[in-house]
Amino acid sequence: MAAVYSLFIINKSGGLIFYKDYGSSGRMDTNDSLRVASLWHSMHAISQQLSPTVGCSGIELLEADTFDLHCFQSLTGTKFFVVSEPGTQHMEALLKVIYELYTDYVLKNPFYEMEMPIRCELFDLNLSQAVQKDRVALLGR
Amino acid sequence: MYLFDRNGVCLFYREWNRPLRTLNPQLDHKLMLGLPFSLKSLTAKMDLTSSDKGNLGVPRLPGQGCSFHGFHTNTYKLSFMEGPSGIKIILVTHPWTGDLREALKHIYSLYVDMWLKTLCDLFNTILANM
Repeated sequence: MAAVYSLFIINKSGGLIFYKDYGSSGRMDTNDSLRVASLWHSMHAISQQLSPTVGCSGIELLEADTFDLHCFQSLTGTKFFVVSEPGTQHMEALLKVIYELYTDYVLKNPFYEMEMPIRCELFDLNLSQAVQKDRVALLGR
Repeated sequence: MYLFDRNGVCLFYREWNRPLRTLNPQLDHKLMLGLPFSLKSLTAKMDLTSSDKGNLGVPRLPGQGCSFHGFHTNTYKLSFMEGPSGIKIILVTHPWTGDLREALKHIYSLYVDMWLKTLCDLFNTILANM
């Protein structure tokens, strides 16, 4: 029973820089994941335009019939979003943890270029550990 | 609150408390129609339970594929419902409002009642005049 189905990270301009699938079904190929990421980037921007009050920072949670999509936008414009089971709790906390891992293992990596696809082993490793821990905590409850 | 028919014509718009208006009304309506439309095609594509949909283009039919029923941002919450005839009801509220699906269903039933009633009246007057 996977609570988190997949994770996407998109850069400031809307390009997909990281995609990881944890669920069993619904695996998307590269082209589709790229398209989905760009679509999400545009939707996020449009939702900010449509806000009836000032200070909107874009969609934080999208509720669909079979999944939920939680999004976190950092101050620099990088967006992290997870696709999870409907009603999963504490996804915001998980997103913050992922953001910390991103700053530690990706941004501090001297060989990593900004806005490029992420290819850092330590990031992948720690990310899997964090998601596993989250999954265990949820199942144990 | 916005109400669109299946061709995208805005049938009804009502506001109760809207501090900020960034766009002119036509553009606002267009975006408000387009955003749920694109989000629907996105969720249909990302749907994990069904077999692969073809494209990110147009899964037009109202019942087909996974649809979203709402999203929220830090300043507002948008609830969406599509009826079987293609009619779309969109409600923009404060972010702390709970699940509004029942409210949307209620609005839809009100709409159906009123619409059918007016149509019946029209029908009756036409019959009476014949």
